[in-house]
Amino acid sequence: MGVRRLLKKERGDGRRTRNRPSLSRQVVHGGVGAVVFALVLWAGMALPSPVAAQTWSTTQYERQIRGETELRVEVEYGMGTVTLLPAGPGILYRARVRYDEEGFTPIHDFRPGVLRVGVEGSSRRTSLRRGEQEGELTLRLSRELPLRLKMEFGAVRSELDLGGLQLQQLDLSTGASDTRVRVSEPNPGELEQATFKVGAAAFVATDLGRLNAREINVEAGVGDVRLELGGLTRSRTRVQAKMGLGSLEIRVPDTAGVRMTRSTFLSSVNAPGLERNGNVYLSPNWDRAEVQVEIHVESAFGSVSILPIR
Amino acid sequence: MPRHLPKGVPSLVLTLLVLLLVPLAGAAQERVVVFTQVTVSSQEAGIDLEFADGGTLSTVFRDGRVLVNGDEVGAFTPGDALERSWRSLLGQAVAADNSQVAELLRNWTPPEDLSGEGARSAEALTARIGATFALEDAAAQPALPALSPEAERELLQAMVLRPERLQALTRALEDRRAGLPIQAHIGESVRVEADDDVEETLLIVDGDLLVEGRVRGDILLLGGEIELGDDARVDGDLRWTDARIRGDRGAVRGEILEVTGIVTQTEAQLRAEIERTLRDSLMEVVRAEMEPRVSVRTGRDTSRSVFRNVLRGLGGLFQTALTFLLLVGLGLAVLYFFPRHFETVARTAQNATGRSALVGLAGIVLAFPTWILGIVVLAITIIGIPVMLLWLPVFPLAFAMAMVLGYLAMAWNLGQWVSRRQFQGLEGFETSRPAAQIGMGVAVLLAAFALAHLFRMGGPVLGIFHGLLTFVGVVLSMVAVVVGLGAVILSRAGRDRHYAGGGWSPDDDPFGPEPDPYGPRGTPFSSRPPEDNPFRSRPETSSAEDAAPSDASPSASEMEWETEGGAPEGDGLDREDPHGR
Repeated sequence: MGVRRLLKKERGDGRRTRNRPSLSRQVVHGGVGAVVFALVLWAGMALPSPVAAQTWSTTQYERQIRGETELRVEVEYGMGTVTLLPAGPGILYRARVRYDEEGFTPIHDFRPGVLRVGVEGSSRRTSLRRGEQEGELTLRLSRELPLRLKMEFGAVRSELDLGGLQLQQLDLSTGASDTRVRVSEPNPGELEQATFKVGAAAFVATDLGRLNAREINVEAGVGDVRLELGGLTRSRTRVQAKMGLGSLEIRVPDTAGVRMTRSTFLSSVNAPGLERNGNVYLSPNWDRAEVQVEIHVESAFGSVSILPIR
Repeated sequence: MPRHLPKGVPSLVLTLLVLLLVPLAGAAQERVVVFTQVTVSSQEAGIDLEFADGGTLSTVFRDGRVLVNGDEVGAFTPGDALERSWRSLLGQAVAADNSQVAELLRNWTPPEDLSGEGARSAEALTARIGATFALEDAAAQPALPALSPEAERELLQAMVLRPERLQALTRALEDRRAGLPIQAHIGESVRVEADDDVEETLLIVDGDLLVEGRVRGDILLLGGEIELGDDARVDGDLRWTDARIRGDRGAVRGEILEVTGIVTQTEAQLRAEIERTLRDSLMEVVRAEMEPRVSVRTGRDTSRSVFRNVLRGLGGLFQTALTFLLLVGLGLAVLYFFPRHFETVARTAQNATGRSALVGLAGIVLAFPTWILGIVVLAITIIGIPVMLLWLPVFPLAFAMAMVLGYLAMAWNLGQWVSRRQFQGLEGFETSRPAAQIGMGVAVLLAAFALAHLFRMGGPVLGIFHGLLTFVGVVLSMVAVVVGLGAVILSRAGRDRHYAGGGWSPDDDPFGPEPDPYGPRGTPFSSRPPEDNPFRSRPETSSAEDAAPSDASPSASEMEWETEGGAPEGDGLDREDPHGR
């Protein structure tokens, strides 16, 4: 029996229908199977729902350099905003965490040469409800000693400035994130490999050439990925990009020689200025360029663009 | 010592000098703090320090207890003057850099108006903090003054004989570069040769200074003259009063400040003032954020809790009222601009409820996969990529609009039902108007939320009703959305009346006659010529629910169906007028 019965009125003599079932019974009868799904779907939408109070904590850690010769940094952050910046003179690291103590716990563990910092979800709750604020992590790292940096983010918006950090290792793994990486100043050291693993996310990295990395690896699931290799000084840099679904854009200085190979399934390739020979794309200046970039792209669905930076 | 000096003045001056120099020791102390941790939360507020010698100081207010290095030294009542003062300190510390945190802690003074337990706790706390720093001060003492007894005596004389210099000296020493010892020269001329490298701060009183080499510290010149040679280099500041400067001022890497009785607002002072103002503002924000939560968490301030519950309830009511206005506004807009589409959706939801529910459920389940599939299909080709960019936002938007339209259509149906029930209290209202019916329907759907917020004001005792009513409201809304969405899909957003039932007589139509795009008004689709009927091939099946026999007499349109021969009794298409007009 549906809502129509509920709303039905006899015609002709204007008599009203008697013995009508209750409203709730009829309505629930019509949509009982939908409730479970709809509860989940609708909860985040237009209907009013109570928002649990958040209780904010702020903690700041700052440590001076005391004879450390290198630092391994592990950053874990589930949800919120992350900012990474270089620290001032004499400071080994400075971390400021703002988190909702109802659902999250700060991580801070320092042993000589190793720092683990971030925020983890407690057992009670690990997701934001509608209307709730998100936490923040601002981390500053020393430029005065070599760093091995590993970052794991969940649903995070992040702004990472790696300028001037002496990076020896860089691993960034993100979930559903909006990540922006920039290298405002060159890496004084040499980076063997920079690895970016991006889930369902928007990922933009600029001036990656300043990382002075032998190899840059990017693995992206779904989303938009843009890599700008500005500031390249190495004679040879390898870029490996794996893309599931989405658009991948790699920008290379127009003076650099580019050689791209691809292994794509249902993806379009847009590489103006590169000469194609099968699955190999080559810039005309490849042989004589002082700076060369080798790119290998694997893409399932989406578009791949190799564009120059002018 | 001059004889005309009153008794006790030398000791006063000495005390003053010591006070002036002690902050230098404090500044030296800051450098040996290697780690700071400042925590401000509703449950605790604390500062942890680690010193270079391995020592630590942990001071925290937690659970009504004041703890220093784990020892309970006192107690506080959440929100009392002692805790407010401590949190105020932490408000500054959390915005300060490492070098300032220790100094803030050292200089913290509890409120003077404390009494009883609060006063005892404050005294014990400051004593422990003072003792910790006193140890450090003792350790730092050797680095203090490089003044010889002779220089000290001369300085004392110079200061006492010309007391105005004391003020200048005070200013000259303010914010001085920390750490370097002082080399004082009273009434003598000093020369820093080209190959000299002076690692101290030079204090010249009533004397001349010629700099040809390097001075790593500051130069404090009180009366006299300074000449900076071509190869001179001063790493610190040049602070002077009643003196003359000659030579290249560019040799001074720091600032050149005249310290007089009149306060000079230098750039550094202005900057410090701005920083202080910002810090104070931030402190206020942090305090405002933390204080109410303390009282709620501890439950000691029940009046605040009650007030908070009432405020939250009122806020929820306001939120519900806004939602009501928004939904009614949307409903009226749809009613005004798309009356027939809207009515078709509403009637489809009425006449094919079970089918609508199933279709709505399927729509919800399949929406996301459809969206992704669309993206994939469009992303395959270059031509499709621009379309995909359109598809990405348009599909979710259209889906959300369909859900809202369906919800409003269900609200309208509900409003019609309320209108026909002729509830007491509604006699004075023109409830037969579609606009009023939409308003009533939305009100019914949101009533549970409003009641829930009312119960919320009653605090934790009535909290269960708040939860139950919220649940009921969510369930009702879910059902409205699912069935409504299904009706939107079935009726092709109100363009297809196939499931809306027949019998669109002008009398029943609240919008009056309008050209029917599907044919003459009142003509069932299936009675049109086969070649004109776009739905001819559609199987006229119905759900079991819809197949229930009607208890009403067949209407004129039903008769038409029956004469058509294609619609047996209980065909699932209700030809009665649901609006009861």
